Amino acid sequence: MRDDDEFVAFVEQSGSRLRDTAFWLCRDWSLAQDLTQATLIKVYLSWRRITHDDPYWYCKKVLLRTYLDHKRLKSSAEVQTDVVPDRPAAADAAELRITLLDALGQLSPQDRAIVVLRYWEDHSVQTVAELLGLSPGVVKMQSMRALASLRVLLGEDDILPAPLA
Amino acid sequence: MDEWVHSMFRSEMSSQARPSLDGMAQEVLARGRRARRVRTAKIASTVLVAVGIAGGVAVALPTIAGGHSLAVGRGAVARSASPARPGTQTAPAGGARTEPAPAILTDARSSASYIPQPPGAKAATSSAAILDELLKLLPPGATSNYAFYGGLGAQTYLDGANGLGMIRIVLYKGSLNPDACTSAVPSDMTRTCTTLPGGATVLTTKISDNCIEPLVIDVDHGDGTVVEIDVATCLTWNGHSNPPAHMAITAAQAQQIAADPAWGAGQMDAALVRDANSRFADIQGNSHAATSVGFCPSASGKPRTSASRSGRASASRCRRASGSESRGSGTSTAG
Repeated sequence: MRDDDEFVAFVEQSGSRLRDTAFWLCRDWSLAQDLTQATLIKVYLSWRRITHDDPYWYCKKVLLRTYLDHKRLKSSAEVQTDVVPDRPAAADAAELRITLLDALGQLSPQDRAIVVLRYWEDHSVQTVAELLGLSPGVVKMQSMRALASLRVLLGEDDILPAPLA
Repeated sequence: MDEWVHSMFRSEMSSQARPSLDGMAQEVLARGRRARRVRTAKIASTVLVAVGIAGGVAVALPTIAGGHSLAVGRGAVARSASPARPGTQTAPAGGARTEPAPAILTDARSSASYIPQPPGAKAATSSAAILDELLKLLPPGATSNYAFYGGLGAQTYLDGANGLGMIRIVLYKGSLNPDACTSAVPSDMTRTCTTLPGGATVLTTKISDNCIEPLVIDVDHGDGTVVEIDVATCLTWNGHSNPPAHMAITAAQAQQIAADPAWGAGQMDAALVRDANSRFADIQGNSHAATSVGFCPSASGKPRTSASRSGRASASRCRRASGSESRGSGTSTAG
């Protein structure tokens, strides 16, 4: 049985990683911190019952569920930004950062989660499907659709290399 | 394939100034423990109800000393043979009993009404209404950092005669468990029960190592309403710590607020609810009941004054600067 000390050690080890993922989902560090805390508290309540070999896996599922549930409630604290420009004004790092965040914000919560899990967490389609409770086919289709949207939003021709495949 | 997305994510994250996570583990642990206590209370009451039904125990109200009908906690039914609850008791710290301290709440509702609400039109209680009513009842001082939390709960800072401090309030549907008054508690906690003239039970809890809840006053209004006031000695999480603060109100003041007739976990004054829901619309709907956790609202409002009470709450988003537990913040001047 994992006790509180183990839980604290887990949080110290995994909290940063979890919050980074949360940041990509909600695009705001403050919200990411809240989302992470909410997730970790839920995990704490189940800590003694978690038998999965990798608590982080469980944690990530809780994070995603918390995030998506939150979005469904429409009590979202989503950061609203200006309309994404049709084409980026410049390709320097700062512009790139803003444009990426803005572009992610244009995706639906589920599509954003898929993109983050696939391309930030580097999970396979199968793993993303398991995490989100979707079929692999749906994940694959939505992933392609989301990427296509990102290409348009980010002005791929100007700032991005051509896709490798 | 799609390596461009990977590289953009990596590039982006490397340029981000990530806030510190110092203290998050302890913060989560403290809040998790609290959430567990609340959950345990619900489970305990459910189990006791089941035991009561299985045993064919008639739901009869025991009488406490002083002749008041006890809140119909099923816990009370289950221990109806126990001695009457004294009017005042302090649970010994670190007592001989090794089992966990009993939950302080039960889901069962009393048929008695110790602190009846004033007559008039009523509407479903909201966190906004709770915040508004709390602001009315606080002693003079500037209030700020409004937030909702819990299922029906609110937070404010008060900078008054005692200095700057944080106050939180939560309304529970249920009743106080009389067992909580007589049982041993952890060594860092004391519990004291008193009975108000109208029969309402007041449970005072002091937790020495918890700056959010060093003083907690619960008042059982009867009719299924328990009001909890937390008087903190620190402020909300700022990304690095919970800055120390003063107890903004005394225990007596907290008790007076908690015992105000206006409170109702189910319904409160309709005009108050309507007005508060409108005024605090920008932080409305961000409360999350299950674990008393949630998210900061995105919207911002403008400062208001208690004189007009026509402004809007929430002057800024609840960034870490205003606290990790904050769901929204605002500024006003009370009193």
